[in-house]
Amino acid sequence: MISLFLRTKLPPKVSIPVKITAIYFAVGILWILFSDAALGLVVRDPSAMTKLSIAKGCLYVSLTAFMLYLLVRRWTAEITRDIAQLKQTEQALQDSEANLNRAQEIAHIGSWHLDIARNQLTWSNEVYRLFGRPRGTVLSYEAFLDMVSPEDREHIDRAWAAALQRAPYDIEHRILVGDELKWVRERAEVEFDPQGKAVRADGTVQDITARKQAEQEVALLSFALDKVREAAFLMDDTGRFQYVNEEACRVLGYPRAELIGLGVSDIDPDFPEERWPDHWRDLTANRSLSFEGRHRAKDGRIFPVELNANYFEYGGRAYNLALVRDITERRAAEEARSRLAAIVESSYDGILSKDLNGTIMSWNAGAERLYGYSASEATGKPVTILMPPGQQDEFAVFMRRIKEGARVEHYETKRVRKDGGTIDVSLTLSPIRDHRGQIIGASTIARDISAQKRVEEERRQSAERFRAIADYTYDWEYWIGVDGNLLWVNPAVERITGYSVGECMGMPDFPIPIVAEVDRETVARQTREAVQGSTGDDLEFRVRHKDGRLVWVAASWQPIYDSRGTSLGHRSSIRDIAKRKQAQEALQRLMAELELRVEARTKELSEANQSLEAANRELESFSYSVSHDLRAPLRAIDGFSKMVLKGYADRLDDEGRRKLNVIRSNAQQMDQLINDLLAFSRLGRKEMVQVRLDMEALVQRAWKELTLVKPDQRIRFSVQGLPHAMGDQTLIKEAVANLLSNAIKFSKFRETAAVEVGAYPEEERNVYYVRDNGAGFDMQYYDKLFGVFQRLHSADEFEGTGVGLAIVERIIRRHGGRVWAEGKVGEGATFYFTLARKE
Amino acid sequence: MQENPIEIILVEDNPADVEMTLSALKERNLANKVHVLKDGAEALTYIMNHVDCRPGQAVQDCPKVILLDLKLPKVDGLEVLKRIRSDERTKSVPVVVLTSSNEERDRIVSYKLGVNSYIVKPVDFDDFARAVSEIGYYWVLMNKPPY
Repeated sequence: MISLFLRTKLPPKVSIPVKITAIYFAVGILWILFSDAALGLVVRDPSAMTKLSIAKGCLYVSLTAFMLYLLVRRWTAEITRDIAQLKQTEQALQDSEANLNRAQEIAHIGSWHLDIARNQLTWSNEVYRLFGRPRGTVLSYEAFLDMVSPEDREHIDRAWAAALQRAPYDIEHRILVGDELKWVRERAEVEFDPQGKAVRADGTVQDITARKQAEQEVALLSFALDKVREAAFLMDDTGRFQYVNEEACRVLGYPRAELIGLGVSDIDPDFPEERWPDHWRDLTANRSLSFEGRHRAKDGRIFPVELNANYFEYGGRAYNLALVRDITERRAAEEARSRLAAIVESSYDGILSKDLNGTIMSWNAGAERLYGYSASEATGKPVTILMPPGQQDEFAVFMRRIKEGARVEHYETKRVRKDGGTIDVSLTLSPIRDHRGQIIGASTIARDISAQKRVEEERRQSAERFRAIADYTYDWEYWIGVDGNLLWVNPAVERITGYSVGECMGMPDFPIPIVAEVDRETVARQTREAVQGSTGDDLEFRVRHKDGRLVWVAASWQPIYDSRGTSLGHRSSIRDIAKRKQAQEALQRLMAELELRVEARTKELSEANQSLEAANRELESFSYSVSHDLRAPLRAIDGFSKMVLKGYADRLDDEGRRKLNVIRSNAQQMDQLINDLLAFSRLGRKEMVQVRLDMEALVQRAWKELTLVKPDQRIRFSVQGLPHAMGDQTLIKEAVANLLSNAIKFSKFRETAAVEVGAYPEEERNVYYVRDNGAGFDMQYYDKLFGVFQRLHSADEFEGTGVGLAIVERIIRRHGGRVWAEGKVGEGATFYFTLARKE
Repeated sequence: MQENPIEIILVEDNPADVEMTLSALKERNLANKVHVLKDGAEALTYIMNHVDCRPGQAVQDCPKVILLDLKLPKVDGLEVLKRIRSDERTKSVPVVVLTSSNEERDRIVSYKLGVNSYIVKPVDFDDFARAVSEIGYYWVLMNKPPY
């Protein structure tokens, strides 16, 4: 336990007497607290206890006395050793301080010590000298700050505060020494206690005034050189660069460090090293040289330069300061200027300039061509020589605008040529400014627009004509571009739809909104097809007029192309077809009406037909009755007359017999009448079958049948080359038989009767005739010849009922033919009839 | 009439014609063998009740010929002809149409219905008498029927 105490390493700052006292105190307390307790564990007897306590007290004193001895001995030894050391150190310190002061004097570096806690500043001799203060001046941090140039105090304060936070302290600042400003550099190290608190600082102060001045001078010079627009190269007699300015680095694209160390031959492609000695001699002789050359940048780009080399000597050595200007822009400007000049000179337009008084200053070839004056003739003349007599005041107007800085563009007017001719020109005038921006004149570009004017005039007239035609076109015309938008519509749209041109132009999706709802799909399809280049005609649709009524129109459309075949959209032409529609509708109404009428007429006709059929049926039953019922009484009359004649012959005289015979003959006559009448009425009802008839054979057959009945008569009969004809076999034969039987009948009193049948053609028909040399007839009664029951002869002369010719007439008429006759009493008659040659 | 077997049935409504016909037949001594019927209905009643001329059957009142006028009261001659020809008992009896009608239609229909002869009554009595006389001679005396 004691050894533990002894070995306890106390913090060196705690004084040794305190340590000793503390150890003694601690041992004493521990003894009091634990010795009795320990004793109590061994001894229970209180009397023994008291005896033992005295012994214990004696033991305690002995122990502590021994310990105290050890401690005091150790402490005493330490102190002795320390004192010896201290004496040695003090000597060394004095030596080193003297050395330090000497060193500081030589190096102009002073040192200082700051006891931060006490704020006690200690300076070396050199520092006093530096600050120009007498030794022994009471020093502190604040006193130090007072000596600093006021503009640096804040800077120092900040740096010191940082140093107290363990930042390095190395600053340069100015101090005031009387009226003089000095530059010093200060460095310091701060010492901290274990808690991190700054305890003290040691530092140095160096006088850097001379260096600072030199630095400032160089900086000023460099600054000045760096601001120069030219690239500056300082080179020695070998052509190596000693110094280059910022511009030189910028222009050539080198970092400064790289460029210094290079030589002229590295940046000048026209200046190989072998040329340098000549150049240097030249420069030495002339002191200053100006010339143009070329430089090469680091990236290989070569550009034109203007150089100014200056020779000088410094410190016994020769230098050249070369000032170099990049003249790329100037060259470009020169080239641009010459290009511009070339353009102006070669321009077809007339280009001239004049001063504010109107005096012509320049004149290009175009102006000479335009106006006829040469450049030498025009220059110096007033520009008014070009103006026609009535337009001289134009100049003043132009100049007022020019002086305001404004331009005059594409002013179209007339000008007079040198030869007195007038031309149309378009003028563009612009102010000309000097380098200060002052307006000193004007440029004029004049273009001959005589031809253009003519074209324009023609185009204007053409457009006017087009517009006049388009506007007065009765149809509604419009033009839709390739994008589907309306480009143009003529005023007829308003007549047809009630919408004005303006309303249409502003209408999206034109013309769909105008189209009647039911037809919109049709028209939209037409528009789509038209956009794709289709052509169409007569598409009918309805338009909804602005006032609400529907208007029928018809559209035709075609794509429009320009002269190069590019589509420009399509045009549509819309016709108002209200009238056409009305006509159509009227026509339809008429047709419908007509149909109705036809139907009604058909109905009437069929009704008539029915009644005709009924009449025919009635007629049939009539003839049926006639043939039965009229004949029966006749037969009875004849029969009973005959029976009387036969049965009562002995009781009748001649007169009675004669009268009965008259009755009989009349009855037979009536029977003949009935037969003929029935035959005649059958003709109208009989169906006709038209065939090609061999007329000659037909006539011969009829003749044979007739003469078979009455063979007693001697007749000369002749038939000559009858052509074929169309007709019903039975009917024509009946007609022919009637005519032949008439011929026979009326020739019966002739000694030699002659009947002749012949024919001749007449247009589409054949004319047949039957001629006899019999009784003939009186033409006076011709109109009775073909009537039914009409007779021209008495029954006594010639028997007959007067139906035969009526039958002939009826048959021929049913065949579409004609019958006529010629006759003369006592000389004979000729009956003619016609029949169709072909079907 | 029972004593004299009927040789001719005359269907004729006109009494003058009947008299003239009988007068003409008298010359051939056929007048007493004629049974006269005055209209179509009467003719049909009589024929259907009294006449059965089927071959091989007992011959009962089977005339040698029926003289038939066409224009008859009640039932017309063509209808009578049609019934005669459609009945098994009478279909083979010769029928001669004796009429004033010379209508084509009547002739055609009559022959279609199976008439044996079609005679137009001549108005001239001499011609008429000759025609009737020759009909009687031919059909009663000359012709042999199948029964």
